[in-house]
Amino acid sequence: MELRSQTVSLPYGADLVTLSYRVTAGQVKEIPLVAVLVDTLGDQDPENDLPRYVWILTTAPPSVPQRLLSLVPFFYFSPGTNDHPDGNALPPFIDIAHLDRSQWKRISWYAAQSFLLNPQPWFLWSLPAAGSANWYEYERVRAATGELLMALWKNANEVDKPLWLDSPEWRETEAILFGRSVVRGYLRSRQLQELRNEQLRRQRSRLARNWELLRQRAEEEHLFFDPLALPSGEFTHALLWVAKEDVERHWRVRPFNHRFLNIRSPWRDRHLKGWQGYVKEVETEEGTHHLIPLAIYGLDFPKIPTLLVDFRDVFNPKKRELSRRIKGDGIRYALERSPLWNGTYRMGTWIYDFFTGRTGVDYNQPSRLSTAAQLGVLLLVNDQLAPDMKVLIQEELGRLKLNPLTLDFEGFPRVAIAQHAALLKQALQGEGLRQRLLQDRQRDQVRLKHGLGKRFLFQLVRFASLGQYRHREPEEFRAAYIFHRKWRHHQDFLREVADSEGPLELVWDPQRIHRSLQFVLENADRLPESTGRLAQVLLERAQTPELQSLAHRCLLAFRPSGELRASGPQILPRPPSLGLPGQTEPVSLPRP
Amino acid sequence: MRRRSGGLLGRRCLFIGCVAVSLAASALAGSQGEAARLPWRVVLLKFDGLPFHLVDDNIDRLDSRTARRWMPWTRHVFYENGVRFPHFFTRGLSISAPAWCILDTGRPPAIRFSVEFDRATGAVEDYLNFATFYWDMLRRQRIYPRPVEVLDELGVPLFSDVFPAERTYSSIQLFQRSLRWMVLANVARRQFFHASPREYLYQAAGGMGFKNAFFEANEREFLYEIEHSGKQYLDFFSAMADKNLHNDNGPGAARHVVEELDQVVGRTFEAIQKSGISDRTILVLVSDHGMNTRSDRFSQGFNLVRLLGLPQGGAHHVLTKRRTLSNYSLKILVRPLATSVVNRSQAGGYLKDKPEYVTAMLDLDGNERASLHLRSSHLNRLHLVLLQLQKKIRTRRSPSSLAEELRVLQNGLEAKVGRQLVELEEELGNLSETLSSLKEARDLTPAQKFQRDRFESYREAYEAYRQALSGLLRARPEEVADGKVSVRQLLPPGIFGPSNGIHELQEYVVDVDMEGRYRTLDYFQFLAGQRVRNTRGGVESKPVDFVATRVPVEQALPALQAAGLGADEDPVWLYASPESQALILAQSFSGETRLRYVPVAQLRQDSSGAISFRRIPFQPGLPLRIWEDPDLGVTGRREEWLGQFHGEEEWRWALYRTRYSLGILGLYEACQRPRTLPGISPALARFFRRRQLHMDPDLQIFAADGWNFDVKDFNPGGNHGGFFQASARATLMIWGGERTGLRRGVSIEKPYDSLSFLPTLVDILRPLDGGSEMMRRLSAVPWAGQSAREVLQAELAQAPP
Repeated sequence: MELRSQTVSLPYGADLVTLSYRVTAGQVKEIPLVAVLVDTLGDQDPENDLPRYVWILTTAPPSVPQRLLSLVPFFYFSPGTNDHPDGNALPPFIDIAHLDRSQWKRISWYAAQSFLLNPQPWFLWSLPAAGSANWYEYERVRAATGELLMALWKNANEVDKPLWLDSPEWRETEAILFGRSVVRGYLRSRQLQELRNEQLRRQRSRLARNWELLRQRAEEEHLFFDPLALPSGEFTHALLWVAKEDVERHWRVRPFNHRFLNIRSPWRDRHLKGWQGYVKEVETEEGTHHLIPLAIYGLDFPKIPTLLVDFRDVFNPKKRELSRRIKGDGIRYALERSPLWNGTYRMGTWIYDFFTGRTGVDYNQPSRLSTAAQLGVLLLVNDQLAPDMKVLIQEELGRLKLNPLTLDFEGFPRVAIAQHAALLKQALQGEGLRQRLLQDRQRDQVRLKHGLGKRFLFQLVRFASLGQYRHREPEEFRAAYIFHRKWRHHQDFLREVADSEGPLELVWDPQRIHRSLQFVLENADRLPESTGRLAQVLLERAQTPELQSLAHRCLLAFRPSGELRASGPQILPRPPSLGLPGQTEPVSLPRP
Repeated sequence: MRRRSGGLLGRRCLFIGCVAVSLAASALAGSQGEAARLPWRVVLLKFDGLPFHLVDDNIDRLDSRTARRWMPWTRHVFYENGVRFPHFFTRGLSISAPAWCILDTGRPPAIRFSVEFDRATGAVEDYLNFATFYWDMLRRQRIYPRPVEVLDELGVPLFSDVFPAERTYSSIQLFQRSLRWMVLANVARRQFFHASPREYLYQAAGGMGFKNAFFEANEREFLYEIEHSGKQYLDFFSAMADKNLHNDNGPGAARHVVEELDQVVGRTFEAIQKSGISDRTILVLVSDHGMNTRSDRFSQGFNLVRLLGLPQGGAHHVLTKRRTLSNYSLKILVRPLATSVVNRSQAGGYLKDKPEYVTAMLDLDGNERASLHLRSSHLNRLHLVLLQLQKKIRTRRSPSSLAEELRVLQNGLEAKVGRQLVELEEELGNLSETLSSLKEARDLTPAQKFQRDRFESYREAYEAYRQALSGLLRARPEEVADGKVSVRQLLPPGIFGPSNGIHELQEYVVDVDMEGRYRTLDYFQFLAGQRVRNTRGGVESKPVDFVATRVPVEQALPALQAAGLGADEDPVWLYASPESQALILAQSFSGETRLRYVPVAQLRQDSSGAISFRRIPFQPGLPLRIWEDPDLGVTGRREEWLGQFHGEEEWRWALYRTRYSLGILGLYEACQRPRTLPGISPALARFFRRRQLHMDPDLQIFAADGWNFDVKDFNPGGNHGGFFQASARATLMIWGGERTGLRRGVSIEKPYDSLSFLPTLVDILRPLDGGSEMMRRLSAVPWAGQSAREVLQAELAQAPP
C-alpha cells in the first residue's frame, strides 16, 4: 500500500495534482482519491502558487432518480449511486474563490423556505424541505470524506506534501468547509485559523477517547478490540471480534453489558455457536483464537463510538440512524403546523436529547453517515483487513443508507478511476476548466484594479446585457497580476512578522525576513504605502544591524525623505496589547 | 455545627464591596515608584504537569512554512540567558498536591496525596477541588483552600507567607492565600461580553472556551501587577499543560502547549523589562511533575474500581473522589460539588445492598498510581461474626463457636487499638481544651474562627470513632445474638479501623461460606497478577507494574537480621510477582539516612506477625528494573554497588538517567511514616500525627508504562504519578537580571529534586538583599533540600551562605 501524488502540468499555467493510492498486493492498481488544481501562472515560482479547486474523486454526483427521490419526505432508502459517471468531470468539491457563497446560499434557502414556502400547502413546502435536508446531509458526508482525504494527504509523506497544505489560506478554507458553524464565513482570518486548530485538537481528542472507551468496554466484555488505522497511523474506526472458543466457554453463563457497544450478547447468540461466516485466526498469550467479527464502530463521533456495522443484525445500526431521522422529520413534516403540540414536542425532544446525549445513549445521535463515508475511504486505503473482510464490510455498510443521495461505498474505486479520467480529459482537452480558471483569474484582476463601486457597476451592466457583457482586463494587466500575487505572498508574511510579539530576530528566521524585505526593496516603486509601513514597523523592531539596514533602505525607497506620513492613518494593525485591569474594552491576547 | 451567615443580599453587597475595594487597593498600592525601591523581586511561572522533555524537544523547532520558532522566548530567556535544570525531578510521587506542597514550602510533603481518606472517620480530603472552595467562600464558610488549611494546622508555612500580604501576588492555585474574585469576574466578562459583533460570532462558532478565558484573565492581572505594582513576590499558575497533555498525545496538542507557554514567558519577560527593576528580578519557570505522554501510543486505562467491585476482587463498595465515567453520568449534575462518591458493587457479597458500608477507598490522582485503603480485615471478620450471630448470614456454625470467635476477635482488636484508644482519649481532651480557649478568645481572626470550627468537627468525628471501637470491644455475644444491639450500632459505616498489616493484606477476609469458612484474598498477588487482552502500541498486558507498602520495622527486623540485613526505619516492600520482589531498607549512618535495595522473593507474614522471605540474586524483572537498566550510573560492579547502603546523593547520581528515575528515593519518601512536624503545638502534635497516620494507605499500586487507572473519564494523552522519567522529570529554569549574579546559558547537569527549589531561590536572592527581616527569616529555615549554588556566578557561588 502506498500513497503518492502525481502532477500533470496544464498548458494554461496550472498543475493538476492527484493523490493516489497504489495497491501493490496482487494486481497492481492505482486509485486516485483527490485532485487539486494549483494555479501556478505558468512559472516555476512556488511563491505565487494558489490552490483553486479540489475534487473528491471517490464521490459521483447523484443521479436524476436519486435527486427526485430525495424530495420525498420519509423516504429512507437509496436507489444506489451513479456508479458509471457519463464521462463529464465533476464540478469541484472546493472552489476557493467561491467559498463564501455557500453560506449565502444556505441562508437564502432557509429564508425562502421559512417565509415563502412554509405558508403554502403541505405538498408544496414539504418536497423542497425534504430535498434540502437530504442535500445538506449529502454535503456533510462529502465534506467528511474530503476532510479525511485531505488529512491523509497532509499526514502522508513529507516529501509529497505541497507547501500550500500548511498555509494559513488553506487552514481558513478548511475551517470554513469542515467547521460546523454557519457563521464561520464571517470571521477574521486569524479567528478562522484558531478555530481550525481547535477543531483539529478536539477531533484528535474525540478519536483518542472513543478509542479508549471502546477498548475498555471490549476488555470488560471479554471481546477483542481491533482498531483500524489510516496510512498516517491515525485510528478512525475499530472492529470488535469475539473468539469462537470464548463463545463455547461462556455460553449462557457470562453476563453482557451492552452499554456503549449497542450489540446483542454474544454469549447467548445461536448464530455465533454455529458460525459459518468469516473467521480470523490469531495467536495471543492465551493461545490460538478463531475470531468472529461482531461490529465496526466509527471513532470520530461525539461522545461515544458509533455503531456502523453489526455483522449479526443488519437493522441494528440502521434503526439507530432512523431514530434521529424520524424525530427530525416528525417535527418538520407533521408537527410544524400545530403550535401547541409543536412547543410541547420540542421541549420534550430537547429534554430527551439532553439526557441521551449526556449519557451517551446511541439513539437520536448526530448522523453517522459521515463516519460511514470515512469508513468507505478507510477500506480503500487500509491494508490491515483481508479482502474478504473488506467486501463483507462494504456490503453491510451499504445497508446503512437512509438518504437517497447517499454514496455507494462499494463503487468508490470504480467511480474514482472514472472521475479522474474524465477530469484529466477535461483538463487537458476540454475548455471548461480552462475557461473557469481564466474567469477566476479575471475576477481577481478586476478586484485588484477596481474598487467596489466600479465592480458593482460592471455587475449591473452584465445583468442589463443579460450576461453578454463581462468586464475583462487587458492582457497587459496580467504581468501586474502576477506581480501582485508575489507581493501578496511577501506582504502576508511580513504582516505576520509585524503582528508577532518580541524581537524579530528572536522569533523568526532572519533570512526569511530578509528575502521578503529584499523583494520590497527591489519593487518599492510599485508597492502601496501599506508595505512601506510594514517596513517601518520592522525597522522599529529589528535589533540586528543587517535587518535594520535593510528595513531602513526599504523605507527610504518608499519615501526618500525617510519619513512616512506621521499623521496618516495607521494602516498596519499593531498587535493588540493585553487589556489591563481598568480597561473597559476586552481584547484578546495576541497570538504571535 | 456551622453557623448560618447573613442574607444573600448582604453577601452579594459584601462581595461587590470586596471587589471594589480590592480593585481600588491594587490601583493605589501598586506603583512603579514603589517597585523601584524593592531590593529584589521574584516572579514564578508555575506550570502544572509541564514535562521538561516537552520543552527541550521543541526548543529548536521551526514552523515548516514560515520558519517561525515555536518557542523563541523560552529559548532566549532561559536557554540563552538563564539557567536550566535538565535533571530536575519531583520528589516522591509525581502528583500535584504533594509536589506543589514541596515546591511551595521547601519541606518534605506535609500533604502526601492529592486525595486523602481518614480511616477513622471516613472523611475525604480532596485537595484539588476548587469548586467546593469557592462555593464555601461565597457562603463565608472558608477563607483558604483546604490544602492551606491543612498546612496551617500542621504549622507548615508557605514560602509566600514570608512576604507581607501587600507585597505578594498569587494567582489562583492550590496553595493560595489571597482571593482572586477579580479574575473570576474578568473570566465572566470575557466569556459573555465582547467588543464587536464578530467576537460574538467567533464565540458562537466555538471560539474561546471557559478554560482559555480563565487563563487569559489570570495572566492579564498577573502581568499588570508585574508592570505596575510594588509586589515583591508574584506567581502565575497554569494547569493548561496538564489538562491538554492528559487529553491528547498528538503533535498538535504538544505544539499548542509549548506555544502557549512560550507566549506567557515572553509577555512576562517583557512586563519585567517594563517594570523598572528587571536588573534585580528573578524569573522562574517551574513545574510540579512531568507527564508520561508519547505520540505513538495512547495511554490505556485499567479500571481498579470495577476490579475491586467484582466478586473476585472482594466485592467492595469503593469510595472515590469522582464518579466513574462522570462525563457520561447524569448524577454529577445532581451533586456537582460532591467530594466523594460511593461506587456500588453489583456483586453479591455480604454487604450487598448495603452501599453505606464502604470497604475500599481509592485515590487515583495522577492515574499512573493509586493508593488503596481497605477496611481492616479484622473488622471484616468481626462484621461477619456479628451478622452470623444475628442470623443475617446463615452458616452452619453454632452460636457458641461464633460467640467464642467474637471474644477472640475482640481480644485481637483490643491488642491492636486498645492503647491507641486510650491515647486518643487524652488527645481529644487536649483538643477540647484548645477549643475552649479558642471559644473564649474574643479577638480571633476569621482564619482562626474557621480553624476552631474544623477542630470542633475533628473532635466530634474522632470521639464517635473512639466510642464506636470501644463499644465494639465491649459487645457481649448474647446481647448481639438476642438482637438487643444492632450490627450497625456496633460497627457503624465509614470506620475502616486500624491499618492492615501484610498478613491481613495477604489473607484479607472478603466473605464467608455456608460452612463458616472465610473467603480470603491475597491482594498483592491479585493486583499484580492482573492481565489484559486488549492492549496496543507496545503496551504490555500487565497493567499493574508493582505494589508497594511499608513494613513496620519492628516486625521486619527479626527476618532482616536473620538474612544478614538491618534497618532503622520502616522498609518499603515492592511486589511485582511472588518471585520478583524487593525491599528498600533505610539505615542511619552518622546521622545520614542511607538506603539499600534488596531483591527478595516469597515475602510473607504469618498470623503471629512474623515475617519471612527469601533473598534472591539481582536479576532482570525486579521492581524498578534497576539491574538491567543500561543507564544505571554506578562505578564498579553493579552487584557490589547495589549490595551496599548509599546516601541520597549517591542514589540520585546513580539513578537519574534510569527508566524509573529516582524511584527508590521516591518510594522511600512516599511510604515513610508521617514525620513529626515541629511547627505544631505540642498539645495537639500527637493528635494530628495520628490523623496523618490514619490517612496512610494500605497499598500503593503503580501502573506499568503506558497504563493508567483513570475512571472518571479517559486520559489517552498521558498520565503521571509514578516514577517513569517522563512523569517525574519536571521543569525548572531560572533567569535573573544583571545584578542577580545568575549565570547565562547554562545547563546544570547535576540531578536535583524539588526539595532543592526553595533553598536555591533563597541563595540567589540573598546577595541582593540588604539583610532584611524577611531574608533573615528565610535564611533561618532549615531547608531539607540541597541548594544548587552553581547557578550563581563563581564568586557568589563560592561565598559562604
